[in-house]
Amino acid sequence: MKEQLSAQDLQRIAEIGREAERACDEASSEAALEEVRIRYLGRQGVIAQAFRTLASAPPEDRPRLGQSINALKAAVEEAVQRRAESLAAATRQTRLADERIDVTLPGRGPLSGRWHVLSRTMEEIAEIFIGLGFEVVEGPEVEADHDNFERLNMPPYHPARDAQDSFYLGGGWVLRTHTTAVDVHVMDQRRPPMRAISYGHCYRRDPVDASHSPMFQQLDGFMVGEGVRFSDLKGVLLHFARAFFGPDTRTRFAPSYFPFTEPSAEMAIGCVICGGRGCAVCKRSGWLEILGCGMFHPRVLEMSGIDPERYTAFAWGMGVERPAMLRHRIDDIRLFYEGDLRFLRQV
Amino acid sequence: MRVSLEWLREYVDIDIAPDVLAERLAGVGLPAEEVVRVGEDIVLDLEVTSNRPDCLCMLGIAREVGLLLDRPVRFPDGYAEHPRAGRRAGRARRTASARREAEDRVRVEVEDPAGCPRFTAVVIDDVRIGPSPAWMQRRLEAAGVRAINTVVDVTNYVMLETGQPMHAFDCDRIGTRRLLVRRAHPGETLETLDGLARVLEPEMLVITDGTKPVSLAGIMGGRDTEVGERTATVLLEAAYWHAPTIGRTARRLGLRTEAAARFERGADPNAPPAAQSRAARLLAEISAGRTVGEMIDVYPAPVRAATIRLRPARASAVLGTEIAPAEMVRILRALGCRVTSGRTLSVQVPTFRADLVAEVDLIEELARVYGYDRVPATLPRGDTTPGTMAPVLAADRTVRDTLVRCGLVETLTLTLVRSGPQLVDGDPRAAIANPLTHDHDALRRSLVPGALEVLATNAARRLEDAHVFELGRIFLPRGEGGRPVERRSLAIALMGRWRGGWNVPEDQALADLHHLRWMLDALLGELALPVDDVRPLSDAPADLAGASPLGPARWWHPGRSADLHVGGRAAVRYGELHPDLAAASKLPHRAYVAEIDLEALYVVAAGRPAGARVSDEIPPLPAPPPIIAARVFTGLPRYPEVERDLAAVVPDTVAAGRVEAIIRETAGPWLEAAELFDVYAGPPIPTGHRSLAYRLRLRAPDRTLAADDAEEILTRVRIALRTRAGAELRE
Ligand SMILES: [Zn+2]
Repeated sequence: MKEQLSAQDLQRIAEIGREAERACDEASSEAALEEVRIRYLGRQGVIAQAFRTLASAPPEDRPRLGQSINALKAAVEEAVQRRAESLAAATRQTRLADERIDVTLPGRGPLSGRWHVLSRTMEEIAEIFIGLGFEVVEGPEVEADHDNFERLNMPPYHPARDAQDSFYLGGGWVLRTHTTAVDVHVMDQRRPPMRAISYGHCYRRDPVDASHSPMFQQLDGFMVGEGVRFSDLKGVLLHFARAFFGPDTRTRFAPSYFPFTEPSAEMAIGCVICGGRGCAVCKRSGWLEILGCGMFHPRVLEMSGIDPERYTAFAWGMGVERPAMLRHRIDDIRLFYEGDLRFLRQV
Repeated sequence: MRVSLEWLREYVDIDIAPDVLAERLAGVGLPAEEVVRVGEDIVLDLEVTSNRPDCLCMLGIAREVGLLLDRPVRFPDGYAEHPRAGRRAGRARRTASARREAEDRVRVEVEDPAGCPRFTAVVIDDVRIGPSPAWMQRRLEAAGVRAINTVVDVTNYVMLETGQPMHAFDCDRIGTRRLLVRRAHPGETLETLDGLARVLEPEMLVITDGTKPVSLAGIMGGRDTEVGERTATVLLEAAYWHAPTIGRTARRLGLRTEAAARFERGADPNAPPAAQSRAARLLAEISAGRTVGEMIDVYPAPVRAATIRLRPARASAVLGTEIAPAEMVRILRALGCRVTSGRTLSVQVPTFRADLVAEVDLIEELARVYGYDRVPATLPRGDTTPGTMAPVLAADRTVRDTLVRCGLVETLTLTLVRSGPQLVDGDPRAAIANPLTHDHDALRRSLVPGALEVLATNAARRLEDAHVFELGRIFLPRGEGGRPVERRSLAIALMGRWRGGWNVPEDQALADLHHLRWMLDALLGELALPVDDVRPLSDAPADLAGASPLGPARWWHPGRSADLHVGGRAAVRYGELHPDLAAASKLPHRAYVAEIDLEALYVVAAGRPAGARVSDEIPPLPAPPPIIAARVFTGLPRYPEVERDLAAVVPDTVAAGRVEAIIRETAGPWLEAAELFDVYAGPPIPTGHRSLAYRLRLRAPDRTLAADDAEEILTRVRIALRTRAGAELRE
């Protein structure tokens, strides 16, 4: 036992420190490092032994010796820690490298669903009119002949009925030829002012071809109030055309004939295919007819008990397929009802 | 209406290009379907709306062109512009002897002046039948009318020129020398010019020789009195008929002629004399005949031109644009009206404009000529109204969104179906009385056949993975002549892979019954509707014929299908499509199909009493209360849960639903969830049995559960499973 703290002892401590650091740096795995840690910092480790020799040191040397051993311990702990971190980083690095996958492989997962393009189009148009204060309602597909025709100023054998050749069910029931019939129900049950639209299945007895389907979708709307003007009809429909087809859409109103409106008009938009220069779709005219409209005939209002002197009304009706076909460049109406998934997923 | 420009120029000067003319005509409501060059000539095919019979002739179009270009219209030789009624009497006196000369040849009587307000006849002698001159044939052809012979061509020419249809009888073949206009007798027949024997009905107007019909009034002449090679004397008829009678007759007989098209839309009562004199002039011109005496004119009650009061202020208010009263007067006069000025205008409309009967008709004429494009675009004034969506439509949107999130593609199929036997046969369907084809002669009463057709269509096109739904109405028939009940319904059909991509094992990619059930649970969850009961169809009694909006059980695999009961009624039927149907439809995979009585779900969701009868009618228009109630937040749990697993070995005859029900019933209020996580059959489980493993999540709202609490609950559940389901509990 040494009587006195010698320079040799201190040097020995420094040496242990250097050895420990070297051992840490040389540890090539987390397990090897753990061995090093136990060798130096374990309960039976080098540093613990050093502390135990402290008791035999001369009292006056103990503080200084103790300090040195504590410093050694801290230095070794730090070395172990530093090495542990660098080993962990390397391990992570390796794992990440091992986990590399071919990110160019295609995706994998459930097939996605989709709204039918016509449902989506109808909702979209409805939203435009909701924004203009219209109420969206619905009505039956089977109508009384009276409500579908007579209430709209078309008595039996009226020449205008030719354009709306209809399916009958017997008992005077007809598959509605237009959702304008819904307007009649709304006017029967409400008092002005009112604004409403409706949409859904309509039926006409047309042979099937690329532009005719015996069942199709129509969207109708009307507004009744004091001082409702033909110019308001133009303004509301212009807003619709621009909201649906784009802000630069041009519209054109030309006289037409519907027994239930007077004046009657047809609205065309500048051809969205050719920009108005003329193409096969617009038959070289640069214009596409989109909808029929007009001011409700006074008799139509009268039949719903609305005073046509006090109130005026405008109304319009449009097939939904056509705007959808124009927007999505669909060339055959039958595609809507065939259920071919390649079509339904595309549009 | 095909309009030859060469012909049109006879009546009005046109110095603008054909395209510009077409554009201008479209602006007043006469759009050209096409503009085609025919030799030297240009032909505009104008679309004429059914309210404008006055535009079904060259003079009518000339009038519109004159109005547009501010040019006068030249009337042809022999034609006086709509001579006014009333002069007739004087002229009749003056020419009484001449008329008698004609009347010696034939006597005309009208028994039904309501059906035939005016009838004129002219006798033509020295008739020469042969081809008409080339210029006339060319014009007829340009108008789309085939040239036949001098006399027939002249009648057609005059109709195309003046709008007044005419008919030529071979005078000598009217043996009785008498024409009597009356309604047909029941069962009477007439062979028309087209060679068909027509059976007439009492409402139909006919021209007879006093005993039998010789012509179908206003529509088509009779074969017996047809003008032919040997005709020497002709009787030219020009009349004015009751428009609705002609329209109904033409439709009843399916006989749509140029004449009928003009009469049913409303002809001009003053046109017959003008047409007769024009025809006589033309026949003389082409040396095809000579008029005998004067025209016979039976016109007991002359039609008076209507006079309409027009308020200029009202017109401007309705249109939303100021049109000066002087401009209104100018427009109306150019249209042929007589206008008396004042604060309100008194407007006498010409008799060729039968469509102008009320002030609003004149307002339309003003707008039409003034130009729709000159009316500004404004937004409605006055109180705004809230824009809303009917709750039922908002509910439809929720349903579509939910199913789309589940990976389903929405389809729309025709509601028109076959009434006869079909692959997927259901209950009787509402029949269409006048179908276009046999494939579309009834209304669907289920969405399932349509959904299967979509699967089959896609399969036939080698698209084997199809996951679709349709939301729409079905139609439940209600007896002969009854209005079918329209009911909101929903169908889902699944076939093939629902997961796409490489290396996905088939069994994990193919849709199956449980996949379908997962979708139904998602839907019901979104509507906040709990399932009361799941009843396998194998346990169900035979279908209640015709009473259910759900398809018959035979469409489904008997061992792989069930009804979900919601709100006290079977509202969902789902399962695997019956393999026989799948095979008949040539489906490449098993298909899974659900039919949902959506209307019943909406009724329950709207909070109406369970078991309440669903209305047969479409809900009345005033909006019902919101269908999908807002979900209520019940708070996040405040104490930790305790989870315990439990595996019950039960005979195969015990349904999982039964096991789950027992767990729920006996576990008590602290059971938060009982989730099935493993189903196992095979060693060491005895055959005919399977193991169902559940994870039970227990939680008390007011304290942390102790292990003892959980054990007590588990013990209770185990005992119940043992005694009520014959279960062995595995640890
Ligand atoms: Zn175009």
